[in-house]
Amino acid sequence: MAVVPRVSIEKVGKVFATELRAVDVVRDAWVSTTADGYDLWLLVQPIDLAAERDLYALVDRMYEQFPSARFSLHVLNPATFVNLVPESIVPSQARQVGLRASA
Amino acid sequence: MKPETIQHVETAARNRDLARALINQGSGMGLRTPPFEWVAGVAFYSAVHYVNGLLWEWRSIKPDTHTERNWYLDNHPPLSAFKLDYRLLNSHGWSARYAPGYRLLPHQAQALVDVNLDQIEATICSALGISPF
Repeated sequence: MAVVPRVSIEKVGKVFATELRAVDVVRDAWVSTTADGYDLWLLVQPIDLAAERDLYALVDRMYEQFPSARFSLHVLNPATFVNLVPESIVPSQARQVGLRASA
Repeated sequence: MKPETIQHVETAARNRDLARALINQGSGMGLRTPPFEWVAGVAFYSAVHYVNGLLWEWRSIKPDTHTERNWYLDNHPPLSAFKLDYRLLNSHGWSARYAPGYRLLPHQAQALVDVNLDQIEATICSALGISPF
């Protein structure tokens, strides 16, 4: 696997926000960097696991825009938490994606 | 099959069986709430071994990182056929290890094994020309 060039987190966040326009269960979203790519964090309304599975196709749409980047999507689904506090899970350095601004 | 491939498939099946044991016997473990969330972690590492087994059998590749394994998964059939199931298990496995408050209900844990891991197992075993162990 080749070393891949960096894409700006601002650009990743903007495209992620655009892709999320069609996802009506989204409540909030963030992007953070890792040593070798980007983590995408998605807070959603409570949904079943079959619906959650479909959300992971968002990664493919990100690859369509950034073929050389590496993405991991974390769906924060309240249906699988007793008390979901995103701030205790999403890295503090993560950037919130402007869902409202992109709508 | 190569000896290492057999070891991967055996370990994948062992992890799958452990996940099922947690589902079936988790309520009798004496914990205040059964540890169904760990089904996600064990099921994910079953999936990792299935993927590693096929990569080793077909290409003699041993991914060093999750990122590298994900790259093969995203870009190479037949692995890409179950990429959504794998990503779901990966995310839930991460949550089981790191996310405070993450818990699974029995039917959710069951679905991760009987739907998502089963899809991965069926695809890998078919590609290897074997029945699940």
